[in-house]
Amino acid sequence: MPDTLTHLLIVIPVGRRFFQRPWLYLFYLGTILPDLLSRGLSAVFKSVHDYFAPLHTPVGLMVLVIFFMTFFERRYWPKVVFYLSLGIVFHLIPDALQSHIYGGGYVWFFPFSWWTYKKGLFETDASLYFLPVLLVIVIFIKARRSIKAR
Amino acid sequence: MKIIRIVISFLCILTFYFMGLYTKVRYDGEKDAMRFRLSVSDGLKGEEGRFLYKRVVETKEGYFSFYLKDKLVWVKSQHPHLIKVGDLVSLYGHFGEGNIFYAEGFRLERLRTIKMGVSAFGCLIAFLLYFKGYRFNFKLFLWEPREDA
Repeated sequence: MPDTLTHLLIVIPVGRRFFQRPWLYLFYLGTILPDLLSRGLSAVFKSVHDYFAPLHTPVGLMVLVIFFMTFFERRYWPKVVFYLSLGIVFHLIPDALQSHIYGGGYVWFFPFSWWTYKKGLFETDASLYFLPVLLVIVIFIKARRSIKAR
Repeated sequence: MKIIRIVISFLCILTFYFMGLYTKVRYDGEKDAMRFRLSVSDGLKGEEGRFLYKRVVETKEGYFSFYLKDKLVWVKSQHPHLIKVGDLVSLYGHFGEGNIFYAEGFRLERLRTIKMGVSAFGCLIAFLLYFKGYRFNFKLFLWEPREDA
């Protein structure tokens, strides 16, 4: 996975252009949700890593979105599902493009298949190299909007 | 409405559990296979996740080598351009085709630590943004979008 900040910086220019607040923030949350639960929780509770691993698969994330949806009022459910799912899609695309340290890749069709796929365009830690560039782009966009708003 | 929410949440938690159980059974099987293959390849000892630090003595076409019990062992690297002679490399118990170890250099260990920190920082920013846009209604036990966000 690229690091979480990179995931977030990739979607900030897209989100700010196309989505309105407060749904925009759900979109942002969706982009970090796969790593937050699968990696974050397993980093804290190492012995149960395998239980959290499915939370980084499309099916596992779909269930997670439905679970998350129940914490909102009924009238917001379609929007919650839409924005969270969109964020998740924007998370999974960069993940699919990277290579893995030990070969293999993510199990995209879990639990129906253990087939893995990765494009292998960049390495797992490579995101740190283009993180500063992304930061500059996002700061530039933010600064330009602030100037325009005045 | 509350009943529907509780039923859906319960079904989701049940699904999480069974998906986790299914993964655990599968991964446990893979780990056993790794340990078995580990014991038959070049006398290397270790388990997945345990590091074995060795000094690189030679690099060639994406591979690097180190001495293990006076025997030169060649290892395939996913990041060959980062591993140089003299580097301390850490081995993970992962295998590719034909009992080839996939290993990484010491420098990448440091990179990975930085990445963890950057990830945590990213989570924090995302959460701050999220809480800026929503408030939790404890009476109804629901998140509500903030109109003033």
